[in-house]
Amino acid sequence: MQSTDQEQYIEFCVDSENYAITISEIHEIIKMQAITDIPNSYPYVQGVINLRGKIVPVISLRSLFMLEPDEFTKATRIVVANHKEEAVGIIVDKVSKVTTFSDIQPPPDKIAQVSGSLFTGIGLASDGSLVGILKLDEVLLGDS
Amino acid sequence: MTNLSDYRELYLEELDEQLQLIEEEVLRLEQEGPADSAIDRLFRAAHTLKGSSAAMGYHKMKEVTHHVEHLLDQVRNGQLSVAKPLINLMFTGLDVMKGLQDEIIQTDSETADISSLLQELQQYSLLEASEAEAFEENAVSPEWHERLKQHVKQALQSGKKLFSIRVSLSPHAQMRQPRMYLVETELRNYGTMVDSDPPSWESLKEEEIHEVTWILASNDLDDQGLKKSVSAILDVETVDVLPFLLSDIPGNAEAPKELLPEAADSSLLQRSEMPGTKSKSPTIRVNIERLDHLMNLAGELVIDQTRFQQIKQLFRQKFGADELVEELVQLSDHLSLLTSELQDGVMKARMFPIEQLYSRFPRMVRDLSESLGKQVDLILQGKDTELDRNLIEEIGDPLIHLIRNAVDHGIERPEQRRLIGKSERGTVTISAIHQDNHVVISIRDDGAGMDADKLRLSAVQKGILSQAEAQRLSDDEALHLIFRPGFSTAAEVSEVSGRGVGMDIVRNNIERMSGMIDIETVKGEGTVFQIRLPLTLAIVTGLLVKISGRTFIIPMSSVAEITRVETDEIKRLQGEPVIKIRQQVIPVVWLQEHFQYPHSPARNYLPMVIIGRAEKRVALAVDELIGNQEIVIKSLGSFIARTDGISGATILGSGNVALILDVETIIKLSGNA
Repeated sequence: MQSTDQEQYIEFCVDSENYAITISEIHEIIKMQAITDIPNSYPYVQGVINLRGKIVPVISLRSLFMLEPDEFTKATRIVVANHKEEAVGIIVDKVSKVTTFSDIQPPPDKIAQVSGSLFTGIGLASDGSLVGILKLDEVLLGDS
Repeated sequence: MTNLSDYRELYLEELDEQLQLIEEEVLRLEQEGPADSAIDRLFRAAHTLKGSSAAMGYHKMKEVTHHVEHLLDQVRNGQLSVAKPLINLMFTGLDVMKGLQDEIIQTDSETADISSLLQELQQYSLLEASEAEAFEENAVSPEWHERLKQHVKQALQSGKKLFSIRVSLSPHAQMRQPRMYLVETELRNYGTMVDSDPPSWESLKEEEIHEVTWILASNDLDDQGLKKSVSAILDVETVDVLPFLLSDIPGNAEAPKELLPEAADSSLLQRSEMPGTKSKSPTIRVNIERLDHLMNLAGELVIDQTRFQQIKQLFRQKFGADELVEELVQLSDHLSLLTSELQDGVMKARMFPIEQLYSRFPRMVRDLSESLGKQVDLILQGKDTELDRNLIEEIGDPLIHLIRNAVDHGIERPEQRRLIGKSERGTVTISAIHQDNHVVISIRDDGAGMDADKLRLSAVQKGILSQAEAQRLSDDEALHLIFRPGFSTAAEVSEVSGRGVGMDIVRNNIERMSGMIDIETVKGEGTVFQIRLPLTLAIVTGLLVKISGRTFIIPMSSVAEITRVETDEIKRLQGEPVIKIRQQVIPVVWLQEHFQYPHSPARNYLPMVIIGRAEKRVALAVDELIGNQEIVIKSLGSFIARTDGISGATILGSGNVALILDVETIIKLSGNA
C-alpha cells in the first residue's frame, strides 16, 4: 500500500518493537495516571481515566499483543487517539518521536508475533529501520 | 456569510413547527367541528410551507402543500365543507409531508411517491358533492341548504306548509336504526317527506343515531295525532313539532338551533376555546450541545466544590482558628452557595415543558381508537410542567406504550360501556405535576380496570407461576405480574399493544431513569399508572462504598437501608447466603465474586447496603462505607462493551474515576428477579 508522501506519524515503543500511528488520528499524549479498572471487561481494556473531566477508556497494547505485562515506568505514556468520535487511550512503553516514512510496504501475515491485520503497513524510516503502522480501526475493534 | 445550508436549518425548524400546527388544527377540526378561524390558520400554515419549500427547492413538499392549500381555500370560500373524508385526507397529506420531512432531514432528498396523494387531493373537490354528504354528521353543507330552499319554495308554491319534526331516542335504546326507520315510515302517513337532518341518517353508524329532524310538507298537519303515534314507537323519547319557515334555513337568516343543534354548539365551543394570544417572555434558541457543555461544567464545579469542602475541614483541623483559615472557610461557604445556584440555573435551562411530548399523543389516540372502533377522549393536564430534556426523550416511548395499553386494554368497546351504564366515550387522562424533587406523570383511564384473579390465572396458564405461588400473591403483587417478561393481559393478542413484550420494558426503562412506576386499579372503574421521575438525570446523590480497595457508587435512590451485620448472622438457604432483617429473608451479594476481585479478609462485622424495592431486595456486602455525595453521572462510552453491574462512572473530588453500580442488574444477578 503506497501512502502519501511525507505523512507524519508518532513512533512509539512496546516491548522493544517500534510501532507508529498516523498523527491525524492522535488527540494528545499524556503521562501515565491512575486507572480505574472495569470489572468483567476485555482483558486488554485496562480501565478508564479522567481526561479533564471526560471518562476515557484505556487499552494495553502489551495485553493485546499477548506480551508480558510490564511495570509502568517514567517513560510510560498514554497515547490518546480519536476513534469513532470518542477518545481512546493506548498505553505504550515510551513515545520516541514524530517521523515520516520514505516507503510503506503492505503488512506481512505476522509482525513480531502480532497478526498483520492490525497494521496498515510497514514503514521504512530514514535510518533504515522498519516500523509497524497500526490500523486503529482494527486495533480498537474489540475482541479479535 | 449565509449560505443555503443556514437557511436549511431555519427551514427545517419552520417545517417542524408548521406541521405540528397543522396536526393540532386538523385534530381540533375533527373534535370540535368546523370554524373559520381554524381553517384560516391551516390555510396560512400550508401557504407558508408552500412558499418556503419552493424557495428551498423542495419540489414535492411544495406540490403537496400547494394542493392542500387549494383545498383549504375552497373550504374557506364555502365551496367545500368539513367532513370526515376531508379530515382523513388531511391526515393522509400530513403523513406524506412528515415522510418527506424525514427524508429531507436525513438525506436532503425527496424520493417518496406523492402522485396518488396529489390525485386524491385534486379529485376530492369533485367527489365531495356526491360522496362526502353521505358522511355528514354535524356540519350541514351549503348544497343542502340550497336543496332545502328549493323544497321550501316548491312546497309553498303548491300551497303546502312545512313542519320540522324532531325525534330523539332514549340513550339506552337498542337497534336505533330500525326504530328511526319506523318513525320515518310513520311520519310519511302525515305528509310528504321533504328532507331530514342529518340528511342521510340511515348511513350513520348505529351508535351515532341520537336525534333526527325531518322536514314534512303537509296541507294541514295533525300534530297531536302525529305526536301520539310517533311517541308510541318503542324507545322514542321526545317528539317536537314546529312550523318550518324559509327564514329557518341557514344562509337566509340565523341558523335555527332546533335544526342544527350540534353545529351551532360546536362553533360556540370553538370560539370560547380559541387559544388566546399568550404573553410569552422573550426566548432564544440555544444549541443543545452548548447547554450540555454548561451542564458538564457545572457538574465539574460541584465535584471540585465537594473536594474544596473536604480540604477546608482538613485546614481547620490542622491550623485551628487561624485568621486566614476563617477567611478560606467563608469563601468556601459562599462558593458552595453559588455553585448550587449555578447548578440549579443550568438545570432549569435544560428543562422543557412536557407539552412538547404531549403533542404526539392526540393524533396517536385518535388513530388508535379509530382502528379499534372505540370512542376515546384524551385529556392532557399539566402541559407546563417542566422536566429535563433527556428525560423527555427517554420517557416518550414508555408513555406511548402505556397510553396505547389504556386505549387498547383499558377502555371498553362503546356497546360494552353502554351496557354497564357508562358513557360510550371513554376518557384517558394524562397529567404531569411536580412533587418535591420529582415529576409525577399519571396515565388514568376510566375503563374496565384490572382483575387480580384474571392475572393470577393468566400467570399460571403461561407457566410463569405455579398454582400455589399464584394463590400466595396479594392482589397488589398480582397486579405487578404485568411487569413480568412475557406477560400479556389481553384475551387475544392485538395488533396494537403487541404481545406483552411491553410492560417489563416499560418498567426497565423507567427504572433506568431512576424512576418508579405504580399501579392503582378498581375493577370496572379504571386504572391509573403513576410514574415518578427525578427532575434531572445528570446529577444524583450517590453512596460511596469500598469493595476490594476500589470505590464504587450506589445511587441513593435505590438504597433502602444501610445496616451492619455480624458475619455469623449470614445463613445459608439452599446454599445461597442470606440474612434476615425484620422477618424478611434477603439474599446477600458479594460483588467481589462477580467482579473477580480478591476476597477481603474475614471480619466480625460487615456493612450491608440493602438495595431494591419491597418485593425484590438484595443485601450488598461491602468492605467500607465512605459517605454520600452529589455525583455527576458520566457514560463509559461505547468503546467499553456493556459491563454487567456497572451503569456508568463519575469523577470524584480526588480526580479519580469511580464506577456507578447498576442496581437493577445486581438484583437480577442475585437470582431474585
